[in-house]
Amino acid sequence: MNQSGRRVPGRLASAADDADRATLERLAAGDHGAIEPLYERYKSMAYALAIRITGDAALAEDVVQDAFVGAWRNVVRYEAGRGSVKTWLLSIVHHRAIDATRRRRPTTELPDGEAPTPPSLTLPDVWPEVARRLDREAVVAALGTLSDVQREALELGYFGGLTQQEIADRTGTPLGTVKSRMRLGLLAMRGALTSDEQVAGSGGTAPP
Amino acid sequence: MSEPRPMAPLSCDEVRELAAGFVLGALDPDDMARLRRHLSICPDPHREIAEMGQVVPYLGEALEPIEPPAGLGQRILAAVAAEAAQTAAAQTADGDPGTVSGPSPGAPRPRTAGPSVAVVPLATDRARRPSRLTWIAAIAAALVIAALGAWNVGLRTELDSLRAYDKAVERVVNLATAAGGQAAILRPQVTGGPAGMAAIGADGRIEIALRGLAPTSGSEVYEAWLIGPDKRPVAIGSVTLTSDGLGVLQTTAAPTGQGVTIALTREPTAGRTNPTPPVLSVGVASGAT
Repeated sequence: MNQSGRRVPGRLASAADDADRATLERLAAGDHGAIEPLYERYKSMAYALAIRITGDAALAEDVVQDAFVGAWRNVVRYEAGRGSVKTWLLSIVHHRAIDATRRRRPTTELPDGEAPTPPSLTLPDVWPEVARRLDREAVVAALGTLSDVQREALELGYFGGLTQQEIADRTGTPLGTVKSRMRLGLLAMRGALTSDEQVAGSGGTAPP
Repeated sequence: MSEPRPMAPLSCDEVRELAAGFVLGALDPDDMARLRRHLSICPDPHREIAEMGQVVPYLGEALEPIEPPAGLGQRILAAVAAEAAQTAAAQTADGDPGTVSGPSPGAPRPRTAGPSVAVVPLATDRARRPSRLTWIAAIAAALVIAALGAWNVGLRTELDSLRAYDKAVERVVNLATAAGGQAAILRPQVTGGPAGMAAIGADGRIEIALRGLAPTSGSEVYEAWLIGPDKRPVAIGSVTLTSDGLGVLQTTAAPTGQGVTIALTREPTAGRTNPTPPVLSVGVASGAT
């Protein structure tokens, strides 16, 4: 296990998460200044996500502020079993950004009562090992194994907050096709992320 | 085809077809609800849901990071500091020679009346080979996903509830800091009991914000009491509960002098004239001068 001579990204990621949890404990104990290191660590990911979803720099700032203040306020709600602090934080950003976008889009047919935000916040403990060695390049490479239409379907759902039906309408694609693009896209991405060769990005596993 | 059957059960095959939309939150609300219901009763672990769900967060992590404007961090810090200071100010205003016993010294952490952060190490040995999920792990993962779905549904309600709470906190602070205003921190008197802030205006207006309220059943209410120098509790109103243990009360009482006590109890019905023990939280009001 301990290959002390080698760089082990997984261990680094794990150490980062330990540090995050220590930060959350400081917050929970009333040390509100601890929001700063948390913000510094994740601000650019949070802002990028908010910008991508809202498409509006000013709104994205509001979303990020709202998300971090909300995270501080609700720090006792964080449960380690649900995933990493990073994933938790970004899920708050994702949720608030989608929420803000939908509010700006009064024509949306989505009822208010239900929040179809995805379970985008979890790393169930079945794949911590995979999750820990993933860096951004690996994720980008995995996305690269998808076909354009698969990626589009996933992005319209995740970043656009659209339902499959809305995506079908918007892209003029049959609903069944949208469904299968999403499905095959997620499976292809998982395949790429979990394959040992994913770093090389050799892939070639993209379904049609 | 004939008529809408909003909650018609889904078959396992239908669930598999909808799985990707589910984990992306891209189903319409009816399908979302039907799928959750299916997962809660189906003996099939539906591992496809866990497997696809794990991938979803990475869609966001692939983004090129973007440095936010420089002022944003300061604004967040300021917002957090201001809110923390409001809580602390109310606490100080309550730092009164205790006519009513508060919790032991060192314990006043009104923000953290709830459970502390649970730091549970992620199990790492269960899925050494992620490509070979055991069915037990898959069940566990599916349950996590199902729970998360429910959690997300709750999140929006929770946000609304938090906004209501925030507004109440703001009203408390405004009232307490206005001329002649008094503030009280309501400290839990029972383990896990509610905590909150109250303000009494010079005109007798009272604003209370509470958190950590356990759900009530039947006609039960949380009742607030004002206890003046004569030591007789006077009911001043029932707390309006929001969805996740937060509650607010806006009411008016006869103008009071300094040092009244505000107490909270749980009553079987509204309109009782004597408090039913135990007192759940209590605080003594004092002017912020």
